[in-house]
Amino acid sequence: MDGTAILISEIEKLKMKITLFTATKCPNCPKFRKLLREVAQELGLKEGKDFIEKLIDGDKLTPGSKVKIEGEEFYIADSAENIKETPAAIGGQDFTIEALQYQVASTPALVVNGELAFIGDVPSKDELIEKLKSIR
Amino acid sequence: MLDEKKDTKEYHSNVKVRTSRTVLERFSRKKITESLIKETQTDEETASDVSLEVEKELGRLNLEYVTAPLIREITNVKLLERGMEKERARYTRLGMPVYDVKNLIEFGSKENANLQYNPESIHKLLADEVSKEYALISLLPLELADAHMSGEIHIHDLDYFIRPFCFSHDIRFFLKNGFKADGVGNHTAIAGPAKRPEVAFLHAAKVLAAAQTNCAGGQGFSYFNIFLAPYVSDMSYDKVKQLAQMFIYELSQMYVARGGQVVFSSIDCDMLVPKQFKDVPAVLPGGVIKESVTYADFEDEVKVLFNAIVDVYLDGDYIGKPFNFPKFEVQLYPQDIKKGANEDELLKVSELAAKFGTPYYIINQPYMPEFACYQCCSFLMPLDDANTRDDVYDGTLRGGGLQVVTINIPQISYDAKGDDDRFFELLRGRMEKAKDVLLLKREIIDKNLKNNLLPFMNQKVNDGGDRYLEPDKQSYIIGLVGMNEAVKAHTGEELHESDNAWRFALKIMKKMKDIVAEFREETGLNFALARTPAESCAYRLAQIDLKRYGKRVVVNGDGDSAYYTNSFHVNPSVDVPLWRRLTIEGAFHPLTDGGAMSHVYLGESNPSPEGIHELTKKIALKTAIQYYAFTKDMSVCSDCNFTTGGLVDKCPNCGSEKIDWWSRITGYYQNVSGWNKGKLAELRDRRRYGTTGISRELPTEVKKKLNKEGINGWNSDLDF
Repeated sequence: MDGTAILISEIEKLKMKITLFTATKCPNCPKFRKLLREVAQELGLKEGKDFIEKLIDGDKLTPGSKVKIEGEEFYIADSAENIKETPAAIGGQDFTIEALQYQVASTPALVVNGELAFIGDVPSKDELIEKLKSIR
Repeated sequence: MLDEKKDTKEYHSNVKVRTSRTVLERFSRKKITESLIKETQTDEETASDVSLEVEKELGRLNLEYVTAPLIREITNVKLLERGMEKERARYTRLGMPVYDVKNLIEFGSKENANLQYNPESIHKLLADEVSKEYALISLLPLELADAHMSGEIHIHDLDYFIRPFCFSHDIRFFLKNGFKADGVGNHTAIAGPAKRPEVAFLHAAKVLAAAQTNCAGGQGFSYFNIFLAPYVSDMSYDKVKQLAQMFIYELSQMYVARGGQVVFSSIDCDMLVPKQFKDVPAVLPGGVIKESVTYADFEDEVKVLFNAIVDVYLDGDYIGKPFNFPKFEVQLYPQDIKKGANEDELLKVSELAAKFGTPYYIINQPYMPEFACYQCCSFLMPLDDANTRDDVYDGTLRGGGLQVVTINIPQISYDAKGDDDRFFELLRGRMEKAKDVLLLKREIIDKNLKNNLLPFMNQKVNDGGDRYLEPDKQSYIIGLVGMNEAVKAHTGEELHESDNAWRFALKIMKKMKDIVAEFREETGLNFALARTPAESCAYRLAQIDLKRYGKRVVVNGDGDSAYYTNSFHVNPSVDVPLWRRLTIEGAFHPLTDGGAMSHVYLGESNPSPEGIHELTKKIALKTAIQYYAFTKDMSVCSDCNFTTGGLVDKCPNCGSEKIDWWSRITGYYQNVSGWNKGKLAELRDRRRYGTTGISRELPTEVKKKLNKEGINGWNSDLDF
């Protein structure tokens, strides 16, 4: 029996296949955000449906508002269903514990199908494409 | 009625006092009066009245001789009769009943079976009684002593409360400056900087033994094979292995520390030179430093020495029994593993794990400090906080944990009665008590250093007068035990049973981390949250709670072998997939900035090294685990010395039933005969895994045997 599968069914509330955990102050995050959206577009993955970005330190942000993070404007949503504009980030609550459940304690980190795929360094475009193709 | 004065006079002339100075002295009431004033700060008039009453009492007893302790006991009764409890506590004696001393000498300790029965250990145990009582009665304020006694908190190693706990050393300091075993050189010979490799390795072994005389807990070297690499230049592999063998034998044979035990030692080793040392000028034989020669120049030697060390561990001792000390800790870097670097070395380490379970893996996760070393039973020393860049360059990269205090989390659940707010309120209160103990310990160590009671740790390391151990740079460790039982008591479910219980436990842990961060802020000291090894307190606290809370208590096992699950671990007995177990525990690792550990208990007698290799890579890349080990149970035949994996009740080689069982109690390997009942019940319950994920229990006959054994007390000599 694979333990990872059980884990996903229990904690994956949003049934999201791809989650990028980021923070508002995080040197490598802007690069990863950009890369993820670029690759998603090439692979036809939709923000809010196939992938989301979650801010682990965004608990003070107001859902529904727009916020500038590292020079770029983001729509803050409280859940994937409520993403009205992209790029968006899920905020307004504390995701530290949820991130930890995915073994994420530093950002950026990409969780794919409930399993930690990348943490710390930003992958190359090819690496990311290969990883995201595997979920299909 | 007798004339009082006459009585006194007669008494003076007749009775002799056997004093603690081993002389017979004439009785003198004045001495009681004086000692009462000196020791209890009583005023002269009261002291004189009390001593007169004592004298009368002695007269009434009509004795031929009297001992000084008896006079003191009678004095204590007189103080109590006057309601002078505070003074009595100051005036009392510490020690043991004659009966207990006789038993200890004639039969050894029932509570400390992993201490060999020998004269050194008897002396240590006698001394332990006095120093532990002294800590509880005199050093700790009543409120904190009571918190320990009632099981709210567990203050570790109370018999060594006047010593610092564990320490991680920088061998470069001794390679550069030479070595004084006593720290000063007036009781021992003084050695200059080692010129030859043999001497360098012997100095290394002796440094740990010397430091152990000053400290209670583990002693280790960080970056061991990096800093010794320059000493094995241009040497054949056999010669390097011989040096490694000499060092490991020294530390597993010098039976000298803490009343006749081996040093509790560890070495952290690297497969390559970590980036933070590449540009650091190396200390070369003779203690020489050349700015142009850095550790980056010794990449090959680092690898050769690493391999030699692993090979020595793989051989085991003369009869093929594994070395349990020094603990062997391997530094892993996820980025290197991803790149496929050092595959051969990692496979060799996996072979060692499969054969003996020896290695401990330190995974340098992205959330960890740059200089991370593991001490003792897995305490993480963030050397970044304890050191400056100068220490990195000068060879004084060092630090340790001054003291550990564990919070009994399940007891908070019983007291909170399901109320979250109350739970967190109580948690804070108990952590405040732990903080007070730790601050008190700081005062004690500071004072002891000033008095030069800790001469080895008091050595000056530079012209600025910095001491080898600076109390303000040590870690002040708060640990925890029984998270699993706490959430069961509070939410109704164990950690592995629901996402809700798991999340609540993480919430508790995060709160603890935040409180510890507040303590850091408030005191400027390096407070840290750690997973306690809980070798004795997982048992002691469960037993206390069973007596205090009865049916409300949630424990593993039952009766006199009931125990709490260590730290935030998943219940050791439950049959959950290994990966899920590791994932649940992994989430807690980043919150324990003072060190955490997870265990993989192996169930196969010959696990595949390749399977262990693959699992190691997966743990390093897919979990947040920072430190773990594979534990393989071992059986060693006392008749033919045959060593085999697993717990077997008959020797597969000669059929003998005289078998010694070995396993990892929590942070080191130990003969099972020394374990307390709680830990033995855990050994019995542990769910064991194969590298393919299949899990199993122990065979029934082995379980039955474990049920009958075990030590009732929890005064482990290693109260980690």
